Amino acid sequence: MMSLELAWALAGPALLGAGLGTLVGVLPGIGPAATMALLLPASFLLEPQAAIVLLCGVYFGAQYGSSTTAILLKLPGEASGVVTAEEGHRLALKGQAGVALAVAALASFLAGLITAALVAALTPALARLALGLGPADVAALVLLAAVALVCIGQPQRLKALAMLLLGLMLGLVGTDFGGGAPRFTLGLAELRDGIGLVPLIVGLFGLGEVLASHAGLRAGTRIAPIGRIWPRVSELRASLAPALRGTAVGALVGMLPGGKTLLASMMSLALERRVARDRAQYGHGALSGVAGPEAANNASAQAGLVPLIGLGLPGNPAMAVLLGAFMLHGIAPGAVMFERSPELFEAIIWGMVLANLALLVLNLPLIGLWVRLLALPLGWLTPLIVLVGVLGVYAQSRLAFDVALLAAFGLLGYVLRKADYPLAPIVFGVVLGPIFEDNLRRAFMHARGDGLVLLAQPLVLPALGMALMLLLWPLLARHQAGGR
Amino acid sequence: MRPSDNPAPAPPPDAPCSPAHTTVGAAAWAWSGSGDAAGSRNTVTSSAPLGPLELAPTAQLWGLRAVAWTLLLLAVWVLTQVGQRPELALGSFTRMGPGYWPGLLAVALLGVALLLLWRSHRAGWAKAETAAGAAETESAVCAADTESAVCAAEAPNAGQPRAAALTLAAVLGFALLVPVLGVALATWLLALLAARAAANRWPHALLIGSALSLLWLLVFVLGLQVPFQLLPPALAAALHP
Repeated sequence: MMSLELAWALAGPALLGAGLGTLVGVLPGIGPAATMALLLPASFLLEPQAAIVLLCGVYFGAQYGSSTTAILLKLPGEASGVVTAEEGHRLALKGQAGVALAVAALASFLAGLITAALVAALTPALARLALGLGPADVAALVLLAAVALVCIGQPQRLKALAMLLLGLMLGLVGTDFGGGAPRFTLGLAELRDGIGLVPLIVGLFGLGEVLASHAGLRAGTRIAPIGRIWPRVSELRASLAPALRGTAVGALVGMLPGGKTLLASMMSLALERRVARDRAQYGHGALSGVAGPEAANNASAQAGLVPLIGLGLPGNPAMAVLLGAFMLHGIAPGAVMFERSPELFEAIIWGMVLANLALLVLNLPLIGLWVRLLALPLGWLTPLIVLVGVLGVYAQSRLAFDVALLAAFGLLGYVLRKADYPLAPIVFGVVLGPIFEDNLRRAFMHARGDGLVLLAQPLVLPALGMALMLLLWPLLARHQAGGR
Repeated sequence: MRPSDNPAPAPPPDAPCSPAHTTVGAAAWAWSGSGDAAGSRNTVTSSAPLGPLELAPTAQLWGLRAVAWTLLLLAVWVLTQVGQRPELALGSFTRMGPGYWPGLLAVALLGVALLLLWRSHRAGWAKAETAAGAAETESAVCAADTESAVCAAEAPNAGQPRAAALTLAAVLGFALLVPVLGVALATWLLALLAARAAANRWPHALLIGSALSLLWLLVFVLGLQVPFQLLPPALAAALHP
């Protein structure tokens, strides 16, 4: 059970994160990954548990917040809200915006609690499974995760693959752990420990997004009236099953590498269209079309913690940033974390519950307030964001070099966004590349150069097989479609 | 529909969506590859444009090529490094040297970059062949790349590259000036330029920049207790000899 002391220590970060997350969810133009990235250096100054809970709060909050503008304006502040906008905005046009908002918040809350329990149950088991793995298994697992990241839910595999390779290359910079010689440091002493993770993440996700959305940060004006907020019992009962189905879909998608919240809510909407009791309402504002997707995106956001904490494998940009937070605090997610600091995991779970609670409070009675924020003077917003990013990076290392690096990665993030390249694979590559190389080389050393011995390791063949299946899947699907 | 890592600002909800856009949307839905998402396919395509990228297709094609060329050069550079430098010895597959993994990556990146370039040029040719222009190019890019939905609105934000350049220059300027000017002045200059870049007039930018730099310095120095060197180092040395 949660101690009062712990609850007290986590309440602040949970509330702050939830509030900030709702804010960026409401505001179009800046997303949760960018916000988490910008908070990353500042969170370094907090206790690890408070930092993780704060960042999680931002991520979950964005899922709640995006539904608000999606329903009221058909202008989701975050990608996953586009699905909710479908039916939610039609409800708003019928004068039922308040009910849609309330159902969205309640469905998200239910999904959040269920998923927190799921994360609490599954993650330690996963970490325990990973404990007995040799270097060859770890390398195979990282390879599988990389292939999954490139293949699942990725609209453009080739671009994702290119970004993964770019990330792996950036991960090469630094001292080679095998021989101890510097590699690709361009002779710069600042690069001997590798490229700083903070300037990389803040630059790619934070600054890059600000640069790309310059003058694009503009909110809409026609806001539908909110009307009655508290749903009727009959409406609640009708939303329960869709919310539960959405939770199941979302949790499953969220645990896959590359599983994105948008994918989860899309799948949930597709499911609801087939099975919902009110499917005749679809296209005219169906409440189940709000409850399902909203539950799904929240569930998938939170379920992403299972592979992240259990194995250290991030499935999407937000999780990649969170992995950066773990690394900054010197914590390697996975079995080692459970051994060394089991209380951290407990704190994270309770932080999830608290963040969801805070979000319910922030979103139900205070809906009007968030909507009014859309009228925020945006001339203030971008300089504010730039400043917190730059000062954060500088505060973390107090190296002017890191700020220059930040500018470089900001430019890179801007160009890649404009050319529509995905960014998460870069961070994945930078973080996991060295781990992969290290394990691969050690595996061959243990096997004394006999590659066949490695195939006998428990996870190597299954992982490689699954990776191969993922790679060949589109070819098979195309073949089938062609044969039809 | 954009993946969640990059929520681009949406256009006004009632922006007209021409048939070209619908085509793009349909192509974009093919990404799931499996074809079992047929139900959801129609869902989103039929609706108004959601979460698009406000970029003309040609500009995107240009960006795609620029990035691909950069990746190509990077791969070639790494390959030459691996080839030349003795400390990056290759070793063998079962006994990898420090140069093996970089070399492997460079070869893979070279291949991917070439493939990207080939695809983007094929999409460009498709455009040249069809007089219809934008619509076909878009779907050609999409088909060639199983592209995401780029329901491109035709008017990109004028002045946006300039604003981005000014902001970047401000950040770079902070990096160069902070060892000389100290954190307080460098932050003020950064805030000033960033506020100016965000389409504020100078007097306005002065107000916003001063207020924001003061606010954040208070947060970082008093709130988070970061030991910044606030004053210019030369001045600080003169004051406390």
